[in-house]
Amino acid sequence: MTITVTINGTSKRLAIEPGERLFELLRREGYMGVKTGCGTGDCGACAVLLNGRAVNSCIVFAAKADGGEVTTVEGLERDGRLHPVQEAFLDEGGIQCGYCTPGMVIGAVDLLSRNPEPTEDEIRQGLSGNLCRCTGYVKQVRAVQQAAAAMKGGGNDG
Amino acid sequence: MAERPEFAIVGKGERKVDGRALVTGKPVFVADLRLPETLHVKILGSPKAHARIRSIDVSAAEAMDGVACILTHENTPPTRHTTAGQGFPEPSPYDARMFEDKVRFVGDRVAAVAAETEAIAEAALAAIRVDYEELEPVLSIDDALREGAPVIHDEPDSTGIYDASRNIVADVDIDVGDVEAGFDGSDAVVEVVCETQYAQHTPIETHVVLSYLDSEDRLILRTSTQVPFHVRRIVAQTLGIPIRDIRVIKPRVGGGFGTKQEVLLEDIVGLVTLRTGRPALISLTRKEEFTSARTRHPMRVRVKLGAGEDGVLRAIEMEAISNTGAYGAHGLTVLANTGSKTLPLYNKAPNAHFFGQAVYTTLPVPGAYRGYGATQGYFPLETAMDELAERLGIDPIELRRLNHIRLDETSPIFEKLGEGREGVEQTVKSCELERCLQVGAERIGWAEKRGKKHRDGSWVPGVGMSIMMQGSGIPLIDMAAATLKMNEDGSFNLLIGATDIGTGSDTILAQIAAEVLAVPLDKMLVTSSDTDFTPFDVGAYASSTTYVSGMAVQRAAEKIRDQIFEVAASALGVASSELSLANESVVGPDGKSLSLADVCQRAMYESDQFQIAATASCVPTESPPPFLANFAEVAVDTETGRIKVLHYVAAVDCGVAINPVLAEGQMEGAIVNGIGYALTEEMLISSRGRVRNPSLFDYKIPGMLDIPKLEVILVESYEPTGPMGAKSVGEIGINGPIPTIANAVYDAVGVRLRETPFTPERVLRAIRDGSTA
Amino acid sequence: MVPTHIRDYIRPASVEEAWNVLAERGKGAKPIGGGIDALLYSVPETTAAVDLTGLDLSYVRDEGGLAIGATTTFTEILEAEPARAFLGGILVEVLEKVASPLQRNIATIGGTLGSAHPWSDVIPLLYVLGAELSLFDGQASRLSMSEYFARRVSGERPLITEIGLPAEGKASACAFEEFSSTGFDVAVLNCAAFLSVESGRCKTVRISIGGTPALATRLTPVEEALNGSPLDDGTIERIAAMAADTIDARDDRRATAGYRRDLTRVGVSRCLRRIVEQLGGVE
Repeated sequence: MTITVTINGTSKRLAIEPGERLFELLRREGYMGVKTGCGTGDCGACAVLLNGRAVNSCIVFAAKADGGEVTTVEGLERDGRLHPVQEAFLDEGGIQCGYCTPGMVIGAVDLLSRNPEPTEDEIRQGLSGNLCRCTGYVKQVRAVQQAAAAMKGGGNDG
Repeated sequence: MAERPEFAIVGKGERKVDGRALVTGKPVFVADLRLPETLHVKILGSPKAHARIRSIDVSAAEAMDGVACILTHENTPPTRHTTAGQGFPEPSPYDARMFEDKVRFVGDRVAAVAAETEAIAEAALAAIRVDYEELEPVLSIDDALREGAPVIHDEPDSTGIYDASRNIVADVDIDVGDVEAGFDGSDAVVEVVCETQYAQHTPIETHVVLSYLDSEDRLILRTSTQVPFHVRRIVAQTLGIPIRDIRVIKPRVGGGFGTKQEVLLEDIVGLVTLRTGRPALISLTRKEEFTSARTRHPMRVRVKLGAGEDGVLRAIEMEAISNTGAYGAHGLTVLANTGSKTLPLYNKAPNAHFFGQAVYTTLPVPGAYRGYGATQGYFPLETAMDELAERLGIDPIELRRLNHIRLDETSPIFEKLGEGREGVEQTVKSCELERCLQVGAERIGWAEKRGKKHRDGSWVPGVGMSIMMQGSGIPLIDMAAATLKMNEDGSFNLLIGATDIGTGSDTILAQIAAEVLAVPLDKMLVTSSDTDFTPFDVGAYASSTTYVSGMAVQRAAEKIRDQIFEVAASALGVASSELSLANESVVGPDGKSLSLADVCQRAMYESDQFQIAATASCVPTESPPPFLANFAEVAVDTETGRIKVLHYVAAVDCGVAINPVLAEGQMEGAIVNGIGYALTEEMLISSRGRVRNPSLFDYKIPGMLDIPKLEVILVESYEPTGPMGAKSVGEIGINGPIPTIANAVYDAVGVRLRETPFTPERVLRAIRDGSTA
Repeated sequence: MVPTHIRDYIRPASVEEAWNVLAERGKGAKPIGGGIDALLYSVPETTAAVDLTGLDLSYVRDEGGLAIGATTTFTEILEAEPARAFLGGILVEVLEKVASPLQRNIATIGGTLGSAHPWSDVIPLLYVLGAELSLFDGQASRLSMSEYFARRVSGERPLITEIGLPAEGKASACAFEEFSSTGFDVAVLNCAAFLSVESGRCKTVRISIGGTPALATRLTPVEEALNGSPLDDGTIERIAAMAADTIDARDDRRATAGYRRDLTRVGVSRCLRRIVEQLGGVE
């Protein structure tokens, strides 16, 4: 089957297998920022924005993207400038091995788009589906707080 | 103790040099490199815990469209080796073959298929006919040691096994003084037995390897590994090809924690590539990661402590029995580490005895895991100390103060017990454990909270503490090297074998070099872990990178500095001894200076040309321990047994923190991993030896909702033997949560927990029985 | 990743068309909302996915009670004002802890009922809220939760089009307790309770326990024991103990049957206490 989907701002007409996952489609199209950690929706490493909402691409049919918009971590930069969430993760030491990072960043972007001033509890709730084994989450929470503050101050909006 | 100098770039929380690539999702991991014609490799894992393969028929699978290559014991080299990524000669038995006509755990290798797609490979696996002769499984340490137990490694060509006929991989027994006399002379004696569970590292990126031939038909292994040089050597050994015919490249790695200190898959894909000429990719599914990668060594550890009324220990005895699973990789060394990283902490005990065995079972294979035995040892040791403190009526912190090792002190254990063989004598040259205790106790509110036992509905809070040490590398055995070469714009290429698996070693090693050469971090271009281009490094394990690789980098940078001075001295007409480096320039007397760019320009093009470059190595002669004091406040729900960790404080002395943000990050990650290990993580094994919960759905690791208020406090000391005064910090944090939480639970509800994980059900049972759990 | 067995992805234009495809293909076709379960549990017999999300079944309406379209995602429910206001915010309290935000963005309330996982938090909650399901299986009908699941047991799979939650009077309250290992985890056991009160006595009582490890049901004998009673501490403990004895508890790898009974007693007790607190006392 064929679908039409806008990925990171570019409209594409793509042949897909009816039963395939959005994850498989995106990797095949070269979006290597989309990672796999479990294949079962339990770790969040594969998260992308689908129509503005963060989803586990490994448990979403590719067909669901038809007529819609997908944003991967590669699509967060604007004219060479990083999204405030990306800057904050770099600043606060929220990245160690970086494998959970794309999914975590996508999750944070979604969270902040709906709750621009989250409490610490709300940040933890918002990213509860993103597992990390390296950082212990402490600096990632701080990164989201820093990003929220930066975006409130009128920073680059993803 | 030596004084800490002022640093320009060391001690700063610089952004990671690979950070931008990671946060923008650049294709920098193994599986992100796509090559045409890549074959997908899948492994057929044994459904039986213990069996001989009477016959294996791959004809139907081979005939399938799209199947390129099938490997079994009938067509692969039979070379016995160890999969443990350790220095040669490896202190682990050579008890593994690529494929064998025997399987020893559910998930053990039976065959491998390389096919055009993953789906075809899966279908081919299903078409392989295997005739198993089932043997009696061995599902516990006690089963393995029983009289008449099945011999798991009965093959004649394995070596390095202590006593294969009794399933004993390793046996360790060292003592100091006379513990029996020590106990006899003690006023209080405490004995505890603790059991730790099968747990797993669960790096978010599973094991993945891509192999291919380069244009000269050399085998390239692009692998998610902690040990690129050991991979090269062991694959060469296993496949029977020269080391020079292999190049190992480690790109970014999505977490290791020890499970990638192993040559788990490289031989298989390597051989597929050699036989087919095509690239080959294997990427373990999460389920395969659980069943057939590596795990923690489950252990039963008994600790007996004897002390006088004055609180000073008279004797420590530790007996450890370790389940090393179907293969003996890391069996001896983890066992030895259980004692070598714990007992020296309490050097005031004149009598000590450490003994134990590592035992085969037909179960998933433990390997290296952060903490490496110390984690299992500190559980009984630090809970026994807590019990001893109560018995003697001494505050637990005070009891530690009376007994822990201090600056300028040694312990006979250092010499007697190393990693698998004798250790190395050493004296502690940096130790801020006292300040760690002080700072940590204050931050948790120890005095106000200990022993209070007030109720808040069904919840009862309590506080507990523990102390520990680890090491920094393996003395006289580890070796690291670094090469620096200069470019004519004043930048440098730093080539290091050291293996960044997310720890940030690329960054901190660049910081060390940048400090010596007085340049900003962006003038230091790091290439790491490519066996063709970077010099040797044992790899990321044993908390060695900062201390050992760091020193190699420092030495190489110092050699470069000397060469720079040589050139500048000639250019400026002054003596080298009058020169110094500052702000990317060589500075001489009377305001004379020359930029680094000009220095290199001169050396490269203008006068007495030579390439400014140097290589240096480091073999450490000691392993200076980082020290840690942990404090936890927990609340226990007395109706459900649930433990909530409210506040966790870790005050750690890792010498000078080259990059405080990364050092904190190591501690925070290790602690949260340790909390999971203490409370929720458990691989459940069926009565047939099968892992029952091989998924992140069923094996619960901590998420954002599960972390306490977590504070890591870096209490710096200055280690004179370390680069810039640093020690390592990668492992120590994971050892804290189990005993600290156990001690806090005792303070709260008066039960001693002896078995991890401390699930609510176990805790509730203990509360009801008024017993131990 | 290994491909799923799904070969046809069908997007019907109407509920009738959806039903016709499902009726024709039987086990060969699976209705999907978010589609999570179809991807996680792909079986060789099922080769078609029938996507119901294009049928205007995503809505949350205040119609006296609440009417929720079957393909409304959990996130959409959490963001809808009528759902947030419903019965003291119980929907928000429970749904914001279900699964993860990533899954809530795509998982639908109808899909959750269709999957009928025994650990589901949503099912016991809907039971005690007295949910009614609008169904279609060639003809439209409206059934209670119990009736719907009875049909499922007998092998039928009517399509869910809407979940209706009846309006409740002022003197009513709902509470929920869930016990799990980590924060992002399914329940080892969950408890839901609803109470409406008249003249200081329990009038309507609904109690449902899930994950025993069986799928949630209503604990009718326990409910009946509470009917017409006041709700003092002694009654709460008695009812909680009765619930613990009543559930169909078994050992599994997450917990023993005995522990599940303990959790039931604690969970029911805590639910009833919170309801009493919300109502300002029931005696």
